[in-house]
Amino acid sequence: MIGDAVNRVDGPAKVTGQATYAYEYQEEDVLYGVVITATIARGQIQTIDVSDAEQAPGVRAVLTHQNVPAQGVRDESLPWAYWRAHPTISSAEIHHYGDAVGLVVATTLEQAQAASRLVRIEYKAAAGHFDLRQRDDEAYVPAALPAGFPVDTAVGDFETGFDAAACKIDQHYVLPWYFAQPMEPNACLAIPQGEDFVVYVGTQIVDAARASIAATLQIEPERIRVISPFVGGGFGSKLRVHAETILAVLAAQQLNRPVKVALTRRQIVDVVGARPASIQRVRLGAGLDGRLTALAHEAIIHTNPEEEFADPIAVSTRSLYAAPHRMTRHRLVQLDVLDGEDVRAPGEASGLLALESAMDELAHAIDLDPVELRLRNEPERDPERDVPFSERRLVECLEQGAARFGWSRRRNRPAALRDGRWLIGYGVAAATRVQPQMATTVGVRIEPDGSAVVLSDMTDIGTGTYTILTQLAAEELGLPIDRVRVELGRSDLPRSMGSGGSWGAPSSSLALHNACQNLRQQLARAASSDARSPLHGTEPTATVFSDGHLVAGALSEPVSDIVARNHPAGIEAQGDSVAMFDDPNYANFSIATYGAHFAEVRVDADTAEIRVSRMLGVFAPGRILNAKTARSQLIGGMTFGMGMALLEGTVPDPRTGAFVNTDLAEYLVPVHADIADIDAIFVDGFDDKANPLGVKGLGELGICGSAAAVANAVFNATGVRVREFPITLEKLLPALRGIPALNGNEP
Amino acid sequence: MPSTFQAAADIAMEAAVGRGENDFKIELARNTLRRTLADVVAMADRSVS
Repeated sequence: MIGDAVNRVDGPAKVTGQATYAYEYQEEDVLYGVVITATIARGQIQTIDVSDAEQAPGVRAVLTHQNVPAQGVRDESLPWAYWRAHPTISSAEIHHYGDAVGLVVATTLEQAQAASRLVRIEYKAAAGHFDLRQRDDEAYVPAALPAGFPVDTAVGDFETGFDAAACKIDQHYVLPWYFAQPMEPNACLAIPQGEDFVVYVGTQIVDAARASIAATLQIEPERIRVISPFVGGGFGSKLRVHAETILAVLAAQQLNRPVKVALTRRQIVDVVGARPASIQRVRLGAGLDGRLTALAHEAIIHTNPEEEFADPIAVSTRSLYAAPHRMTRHRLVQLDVLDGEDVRAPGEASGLLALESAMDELAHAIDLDPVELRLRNEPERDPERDVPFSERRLVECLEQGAARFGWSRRRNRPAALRDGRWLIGYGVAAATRVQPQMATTVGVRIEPDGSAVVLSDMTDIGTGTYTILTQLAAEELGLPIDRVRVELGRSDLPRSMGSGGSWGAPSSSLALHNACQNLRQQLARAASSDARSPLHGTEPTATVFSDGHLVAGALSEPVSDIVARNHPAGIEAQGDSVAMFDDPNYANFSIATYGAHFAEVRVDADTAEIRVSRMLGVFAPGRILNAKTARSQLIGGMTFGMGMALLEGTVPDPRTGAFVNTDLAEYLVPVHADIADIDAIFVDGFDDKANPLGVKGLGELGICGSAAAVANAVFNATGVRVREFPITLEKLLPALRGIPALNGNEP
Repeated sequence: MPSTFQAAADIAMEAAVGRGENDFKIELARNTLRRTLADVVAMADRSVS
């Protein structure tokens, strides 16, 4: 059962419209809120005139900094920002273009939209800074990286090692801002119930949403009930609540009416945080055989003055390749651009694009196959922490991928493979992602009829949580899948760390595994001590669940009979997963996931049009819980990586700080038609150091390194190295002049 | 020695003036014109044969 490619158990509900998302809940007397956003990047609101808006048809309230109640402040001592208060429109200060400055609430959405345009705001604008390259001399050391990673690391003497290297690569890679943009926009329906609130919100972490709302309103979390059973994609943008949620709750509180607020697609860009822009310097020193002797990865990263966020860009560099002399460094530059947040594999997604591009540059410089280069630099132990790897298998991924992809057809010399007008190139890159495991509690209940219910405030953000927990419970309890029901996404359920950072599946499945163990023990003890049971007198620890029965050797009894006799209302048990910070294995081993990406691109020699004709990912993410949902996540991530390489990137207007491409017409993401042939496969794995289930997170592994594979394929096709992403036509075309045009049939 | 099609494309784009960041469009137009002329001739050759 575990690992089978079971169809999504929530699929029928989703395709028949039975899965209800936050904004879709219907409530009598609901009011609609429209967020107003700032049109300057830095400064203050001087005057705000809401008189016309307040008189507009249907308007019930206009919230601004002048009338909004006092809110809690961010508690920087909380280790995860998602739990902190999120004060909104609480002052006249503007911190970035698109900062929320007000909310118009009306009887209909159209009335609220119309009235929002009647609010007149005068600003006192200050000069802002929006260009990372112009401010890199202002870089400073961040207070911390997420999850407690060290800000800087050093082993050996990098500078000496680099100076002495026979071959040196020293390059800068420039990455823009990236956005999450899930299908379901950030949205909230807040319903006052006396002094309490019911909050329907699309969130990745139910407990964080509740805590953040409570801290902002300065009330006890128990007074807020969060409901989020279906989430239409997160990608990091729903790890924390944003203006739409806080303003909906504040308006509901003020008006004592249900209030719905959703961000528009363009407002998501302005209000919800971005993956920060970065400038990354990678230095590789190697012998002529390709063996690295020195490795440095330094990242300069944007942050907003309002709240520091240090994208852990160089963390994956610390364990990927062997090199005796090495260093990593993170520095921040404050810009008047919206806050940085976790977006689609924070850290690795950006960092591996630079590191794996540099590795490709090294391979080219010494005329070595880039797969072979990576194999030659495989470390025996974690090269910075000096601990063993728990389960790595990167070599297998590279070798299997190369064989399956037909890597031998690649020419080491760029621009050497051609099909008519198309220049063909192959690229490879390694993938790695940290394996975070978080404290999570899951409950499991056996009903009187013997069916099971899994209970957790864990979320399913489209990744397949309902399905994997159903499979796992069915396996552990010896039940068919249709006898297991999973309830998620409510704050009255056992508390989890939700979905994000690839921690959702390993944390919740481990907790469920432990819950099932506890439940089995309870039932076994009940049967063993019950003279009416065929299992009377058996050893409780020697029992298993099988086919709806509790079994001890040759003896068995239907679980429903044990429950009916001893627990007529049903029986419930809980299990916990241990956070990686409290599990000694995570200190004693280097625990991560790995993989290898292969890409084939075709570049039109005349127009520089790039087509990705094939992508293959081979991954080692530990034990697979569901082959179908795992593959879906991985190919989704690989597609994101293709977008990073060729399409994605948001550009601020240097005059105003406004992002100029704020919708999906101009912020380009790949679609199905952009990739002709994509596949993800696994090498069999089981990481017993990660947890007893052998499971690790894989949600973000697919994006890690895939952008570099595509970029490296573009270089192999053309001989042109673009280091400022995305690789767009205007950057590539002028450099293609040296390549002979297709003149065969021209006079 | 530029091809006839290249020469035609060069002449067609002779008066085009770039503005820095859109300079590539002139080259793109030139290349596209040259390629289109070649494609059209190739199509004509195929239809004759």
